[in-house]
Parts: sequence; structure tokens; C-alpha cells
Amino acid sequence: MSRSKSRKKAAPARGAAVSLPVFAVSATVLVALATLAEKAAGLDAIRRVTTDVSYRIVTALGMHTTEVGLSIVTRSRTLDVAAECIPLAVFAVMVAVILATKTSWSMRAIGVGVGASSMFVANVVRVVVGVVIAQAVPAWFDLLHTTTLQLVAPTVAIGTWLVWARYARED
Amino acid sequence: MKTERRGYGVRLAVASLAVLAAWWPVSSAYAWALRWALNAATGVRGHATLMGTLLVTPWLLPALAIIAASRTSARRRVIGVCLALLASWIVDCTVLLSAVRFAVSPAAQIIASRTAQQVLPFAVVLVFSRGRPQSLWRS
Repeated sequence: MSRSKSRKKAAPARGAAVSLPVFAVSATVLVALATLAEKAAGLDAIRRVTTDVSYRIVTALGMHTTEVGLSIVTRSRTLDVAAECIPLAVFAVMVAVILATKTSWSMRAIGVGVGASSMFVANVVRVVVGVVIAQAVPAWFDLLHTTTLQLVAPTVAIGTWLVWARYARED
Repeated sequence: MKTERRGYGVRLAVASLAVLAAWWPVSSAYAWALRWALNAATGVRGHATLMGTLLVTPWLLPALAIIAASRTSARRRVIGVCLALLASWIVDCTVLLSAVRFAVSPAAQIIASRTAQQVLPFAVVLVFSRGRPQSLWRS
């Protein structure tokens, strides 16, 4: 009895609704801004951090690779951490859906912060997996890079948003 | 009854596996329908190269798994998955046709397709849950 009561207490009283028109407008604006930022600025700072962290992890795993600028050189090929490798536009859509949720600003800030962190970590994992595949099974790299690894960013973004939405209450 | 009591995580894992298993036949049919529509609309055959880079559907996989795992009737879930694929197909057709018909620059094509790719999965989940994503895991 007390168990079911505590379970009921843990669940949010009323989940926050999302305004579809606000989502449509903010998603369009933010994705356009993200695409422009990607084209104009090249996202060099984020690419540098992603390359550095990924290279350190790969080295810690005992793999012999070299870091050259914004690339990691493996036995079989050179992997560029390109501007397209940074899922800024997916993050922009996640921010748009968080902004369109009718909840408090502090909750929105938590959502954006958690979303940014989870997407950065997921992207580093994606790059590390890519390097490991390129080093161990080079023939599989192109197929996995264009199919499976592409799914990481949208999956993590949607997953983080749904987990956040579980705790966001109507303001 | 057992299915109803299953945790949302288990439902999502089962639905993800089902979506992945159905992916090759569904994507083949999807690509065939897209090629047919483009050929019919433009009279030009062989848009395979364009389609390789612009397909929205792989990005839709997480959204399809979420719809398939939602705590609603099987009929509504099937309709939701079909409508999500149809919406994706319409977006793909629009992007590809505008590229072919109006000679849109490659840069503009990429921006349009990427915007659609990234917005569509969220939009599909939002529309399916009527703006309340929490309803997906609450019975």
C-alpha cells in the first residue's frame, strides 16, 4: 500500500503541454541559425574540443592514432571531424521543443543544459566508435558512418527530450 | 494483460527492434514509391543519386519506435506509424521535386532537407501525442 503511494508521489502531477505553433516557428528559426553558424563560423571551437576528447579516449583505449588539426589519423584513413559532425541543428530542434513546452524558465534551462551535455557526450562516443571501426574493420566504416552512426544524434536528442518532459510540470 | 503491465523501457526496446527488423522492406518500398512519384512528375528517370543524400526516413526511426511503443490502441499505433511515413514521404517528394523542377541550388537543397530531417521526428511525436509527450507512456 505504502509502496504504491510512494510511486504515485514520484510521478509528476501534470505533464507540461507543448505548443505546436511555437515549436514550428522556433524550430525553423533555430535550425536556420544553426545552419548559418555551421556555414559561417565552421564551429571550430566545438570541433576542436570534440577531436581532442575523442583522441584522448582512443589513446586511453590503447589504439595507435595521431591527432592532426581537426582530424584523427588511423591506420587506414584520416577522419576529419567536419562541421557536419557537430549535431548543432538537431540540438537546435531540441531547444525549440523545450522552449515550446509550457513550463518554468528554470526547467527549460535545465533541459537545454542536460540536452547540450548529453548530445556532446553522445557525439564524442560516436566519433570514438567511428575511429575504432576505421582502425579495426576499415571496410565497414563507410556503411556504418552513413547509416547507424547517423542515428545517434536524433535518437539521443529525442530520448533526452522525452526523459526531460517526464519531469517538466505545467507552469 | 501482461503487455499492459510491461514497463515503458521494455515496450520501447521491443518496438525499436521491430522497427529495425521491418526497416529494409519498408525503406525499399518507400524508395520505390518516391522514385515512381518523381518519374511521374518530371518524366525523367533515375533520381537515385539525389535520393541517396536526401531521404528523411532513417532519421524517423526513433520517432517510429516511440509511436510503436506508446500506450495506446494497436490500431492508433499502426495509423500513427503509417501517417508518419506518409508525412516523411510528402516532405521528401516536396524537397526533391522542388530541386528538380525549380533548379534549386545544392546548398539550398541540403539546408531544406536537413531542416526537414531534423524537425520531422520531433513534429511527428508531438502531433501523435497531441502536444503531450507524457501521454505516450501513461496508460
